[in-house]
Amino acid sequence: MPPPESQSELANSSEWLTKVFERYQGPLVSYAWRFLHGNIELARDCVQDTFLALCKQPRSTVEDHIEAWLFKTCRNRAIDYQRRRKNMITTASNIGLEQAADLASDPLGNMTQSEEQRRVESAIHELPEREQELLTLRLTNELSYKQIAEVTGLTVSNVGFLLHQAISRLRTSLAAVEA
Amino acid sequence: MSQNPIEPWKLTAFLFNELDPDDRQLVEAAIASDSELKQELESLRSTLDRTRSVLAAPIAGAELAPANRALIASEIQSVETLASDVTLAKADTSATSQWKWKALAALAASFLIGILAWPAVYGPTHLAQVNDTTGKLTPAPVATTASTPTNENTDGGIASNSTAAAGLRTEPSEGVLASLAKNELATDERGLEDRLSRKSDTNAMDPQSKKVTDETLSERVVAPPMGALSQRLNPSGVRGRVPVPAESGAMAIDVPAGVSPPASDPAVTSPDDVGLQFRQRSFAASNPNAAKLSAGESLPAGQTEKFMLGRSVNPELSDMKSNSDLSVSDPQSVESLGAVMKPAPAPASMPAAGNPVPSVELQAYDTDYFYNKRLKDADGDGVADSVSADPNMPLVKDGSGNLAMGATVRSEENLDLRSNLHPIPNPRLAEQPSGDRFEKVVEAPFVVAKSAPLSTFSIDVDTASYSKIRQYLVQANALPQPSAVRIEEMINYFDYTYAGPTDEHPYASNMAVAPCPWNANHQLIRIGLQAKKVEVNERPKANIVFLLDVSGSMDEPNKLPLVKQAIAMLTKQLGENDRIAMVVYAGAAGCVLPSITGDHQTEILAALDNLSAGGSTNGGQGIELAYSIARDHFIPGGINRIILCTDGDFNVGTTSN
Repeated sequence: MPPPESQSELANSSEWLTKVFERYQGPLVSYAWRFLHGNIELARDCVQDTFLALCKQPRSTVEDHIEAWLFKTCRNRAIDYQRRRKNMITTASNIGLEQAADLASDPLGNMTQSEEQRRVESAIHELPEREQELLTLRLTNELSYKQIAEVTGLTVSNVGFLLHQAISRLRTSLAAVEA
Repeated sequence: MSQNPIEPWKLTAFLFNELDPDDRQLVEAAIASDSELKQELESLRSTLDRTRSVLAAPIAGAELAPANRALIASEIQSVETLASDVTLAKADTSATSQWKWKALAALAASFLIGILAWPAVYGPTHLAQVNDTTGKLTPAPVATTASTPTNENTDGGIASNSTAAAGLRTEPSEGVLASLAKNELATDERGLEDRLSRKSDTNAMDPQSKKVTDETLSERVVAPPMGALSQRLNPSGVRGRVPVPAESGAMAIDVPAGVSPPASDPAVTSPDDVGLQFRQRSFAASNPNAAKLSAGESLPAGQTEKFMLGRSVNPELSDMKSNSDLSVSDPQSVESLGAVMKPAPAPASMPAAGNPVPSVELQAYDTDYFYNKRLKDADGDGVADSVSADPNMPLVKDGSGNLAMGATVRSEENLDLRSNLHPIPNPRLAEQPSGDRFEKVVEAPFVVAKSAPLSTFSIDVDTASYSKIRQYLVQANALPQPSAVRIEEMINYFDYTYAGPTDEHPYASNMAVAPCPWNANHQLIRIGLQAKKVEVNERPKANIVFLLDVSGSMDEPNKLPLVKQAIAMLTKQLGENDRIAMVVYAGAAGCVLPSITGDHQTEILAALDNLSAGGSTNGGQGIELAYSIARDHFIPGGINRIILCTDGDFNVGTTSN
């Protein structure tokens, strides 16, 4: 996942921002969506906030690691939201809002999936959240170990270890299901 | 596996192509020699591929909603504006563009040039020399129209003003734009005729009157706000003229440039003109210290330019251009004028004897007249009419009674607010200090009371506009957007301690009639109303649901924290019979305080404390939740209210706006 253009080609900041936006908004929403357990509205909020923050950021300070910066910022927002949601006594379900929103936006429940997909999805879902996240960053968004380390604050070797652990666990649980 | 030196995680890293070359070679070698390891690797690879096929598949709908996109696009757009300023500022290294740094010194320079009695300025080249001599100006990339104070075609009143103004030229620190405007009137009418008569003559080297008469000039004629603004910029009666790109709808912008002797009136248009607009802006942005330049010299001009540049994109002003009947005094233009007046030194410091312009307010009136006069001339009425020094006269004379009056009322009120304006540090600020948007103010027309005798109004009053404007002026050091100014709220902000009703009527009225100070033929009526005051202990039971916007934009000291403070104050007035609930919304809505009675102060305040802001704004969802809570605890005969606290922009979900 190389950065969209080199900076010499895009002298204009807004052009650059637009390119970055178009390039990364989808992957970021996917990432935040999983991170936030399928709440698409919150995921979009996080990604929106991320790009608004990017607009305030001097380009030179983020350009060389834009991808990791975006995911990291988005991740931090998502964590903020999760924390805040815990403070909310949600009575929205009384009037069905919450449920409706979740049903409509649940990437797991609402998609037409093959048996294979469902099986792998549920195996992924059983993994510890951190490992799920690393898998998403690596496989959905193709971040390098180094970038993942920057996004998550882990060390590179820790990322390598956890990813291996995740794949091993998946192998085990998939084998158990298929046995 | 015990003799296997390969750590398991390296196999995964190998599959992910994350190993450094040495480790990679080790793994490859180990796999080649160890079938068990190879099997392990393949099994991992298979799992990995299956996982990838699920995780890498695009998720339908995993992208931003149009509302998110629009918001970000506009933010990116604003970055572009800033960025282009910066780029320009950085790129400007040529001698010509040093103008950027010198623009504010221009007035001072022109004064100095006046003192030096430089014989004549025939064009930019000569101007450059002058500037170099003074060491204050570099060649300006502007068209310079040098005109001279002259008493031709004007009556005595103007003549005396011209003289006064001329005297000023050696005394820049005492510059008074009031008289200068008149001085300009005198010269400009002459110049105007010149220009019009030579409109088709593009020969800049015409020996009689060196001038390029381009479209800019004619635009300027029909553009009173800008035209009149420019009048005020240059105490020496000399202007550089900057044509602004046509699409901006702006008019000629005058900047002080140099002096020329009588009877020579050179105007040269530089091809770089268009760029100046940006340079000026970047100057404004990059030179917050500009204000430290000596007032009365360079500063007023700089401020004024910035202001005009800010305004030049204002569609309302652009519209003016096409408005042929400009004797209608658009309040907009009066505002613009008033704003421009402010940077000028106080008229009280004007030493010139016999100056009939005693106060700032009168300038506004004169300026009104000014348009009319200039426009008349532009329409080919020919020689300037005589100008009365009596500021009241023009309004009457022009016979634009109502309109002129409307405008004057406005300008007079605004003048007080403007009296201590500081330079606008950033023109963007004046346009939109915090992304605020206001409904456009449409001034109600005069109606004949006999045919439309009924007027309705609510008996409570809004006062937010006053605070808002104070915030603009005091905190942002910028003029408010015109649409943020609601005149009635300027009045209603204050408590006039009118007596309330003593009888059964819900309000008492308090009226007075007085002669209109600016038009002897008019009378002004003041109508004060005082609604009945309700004692606290008479208040019905309250069922209040606060619907709080906790979206990211509320995360400013003057937003959510202020709301929290206000609710805490209100909470103290609630009792056991009252109910309060709090719903918050951002991307999603939630109830942070179920409806409880007012005696649970601790719980209420604790819920308040927990609030924090972040995220987008899905107002519609919150409203539904708030309504359902309010309905559940409805108090018949009580005060059932949902109080929405927001900064106004719903950018996600259901909205009607």
